[in-house]
Amino acid sequence: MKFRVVLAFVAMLVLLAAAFAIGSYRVYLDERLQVELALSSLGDVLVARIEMGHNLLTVARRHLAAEDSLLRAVQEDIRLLDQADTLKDIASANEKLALDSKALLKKLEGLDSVQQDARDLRYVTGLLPRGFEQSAQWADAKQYNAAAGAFNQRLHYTLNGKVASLLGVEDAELFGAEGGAR
Amino acid sequence: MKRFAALLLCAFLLLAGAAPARAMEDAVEDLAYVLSPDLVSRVRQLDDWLHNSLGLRLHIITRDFLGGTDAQVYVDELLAFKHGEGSIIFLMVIGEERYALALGSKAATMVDGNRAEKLLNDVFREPFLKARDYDRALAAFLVGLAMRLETDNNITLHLDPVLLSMAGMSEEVLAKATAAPAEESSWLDSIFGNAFEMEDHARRYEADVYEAARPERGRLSLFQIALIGFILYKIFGKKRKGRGGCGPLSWIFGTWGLAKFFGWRK
Repeated sequence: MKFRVVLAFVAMLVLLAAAFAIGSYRVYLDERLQVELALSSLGDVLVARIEMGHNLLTVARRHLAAEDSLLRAVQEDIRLLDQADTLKDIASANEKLALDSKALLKKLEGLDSVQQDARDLRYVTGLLPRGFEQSAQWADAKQYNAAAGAFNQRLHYTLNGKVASLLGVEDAELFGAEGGAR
Repeated sequence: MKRFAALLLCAFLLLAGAAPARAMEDAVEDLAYVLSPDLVSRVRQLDDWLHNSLGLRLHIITRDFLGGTDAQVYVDELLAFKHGEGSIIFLMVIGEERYALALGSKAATMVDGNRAEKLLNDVFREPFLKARDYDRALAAFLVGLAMRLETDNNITLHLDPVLLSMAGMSEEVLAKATAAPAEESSWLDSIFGNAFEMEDHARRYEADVYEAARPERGRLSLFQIALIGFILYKIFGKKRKGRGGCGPLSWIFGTWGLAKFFGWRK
């Protein structure tokens, strides 16, 4: 009789543990998929950055030689952002595009030819910087990194996270320098 | 009364649904704010006339940029997805100094594509690219197009003197009003290939990030606990012949308490 009670208690514990492990794995896998979905949406939004890069190049080509180093740098950033395979390369191209486009806009603003062209001056000082700002706001990787970072924290510092990790749920990849630092 | 209210609601919903479609079919979508209100109203008149007499529809679009999309591809896609056979779509991309024309199948039988291209080269290109007089460029093209339609289809057209003057074909002097922002448009529409889609992507990204940031604890639900308790009762539960009682419940409550003890309960 006593053996039966002990057996029942052990069986209860085993079943609870199994249910807990399966539940943890399932929930963390779902969470991981949700983080991946957010990353894929970020990829869609990054198209806005590429479009803004093309717009800037259109104006820049009217005022600068094709060999201009900044113009070529922006061209290369757009190419990388469009074609890069790894998250690290995409993030680095995006960050570089932000810096190079700012520098190119500044250079264009200082050109006499732009100053004498009311339309292009309006683009260089108004519409294009606003467009870049808007696209950066849309493609704010910090939001994604915060979500991915929080997921990784939970995966490593909670009991069910550790169980899920043991069962094969992997860390979420971070985007950009913030991700590289971790 | 209820039926009447339902009908009223349906009518309201239908009208509300039709509103964006009407906006989409507007003859002028001046997203780059380069056309004067005078010209815009004349283009709308011309569109009405073309629609009533020949079943054609004008759709003039101005934008600052296309974000790397080819102008001809853009108008062709627009024609294929949003417009009908009688559509004449003309796109002016101000910041890219490009333009493109697309004709629906019915419009193409009435307007010769090559002639239209020639007309663009003859009367539109110079004021569009060099003088950047977008009103004059567009008015000259539309007047030329309307005259061509008049000749080819044996119809009589009384072109508005203001439109003729804008096209540089009459001596009448006009005081031009400044271009006004198009209704319900945003500056974003003018610089992204498809701003609506971009905003939609951005909203989806935000929603996905919000969902990803909401942790779902991997703990046992009440249902799981109840199931485990029931299974245990079935295996180890004492058979009580002829008596009722709360056998399974005690197992379920036991599991529930144990799950709480180990912190596994939701």
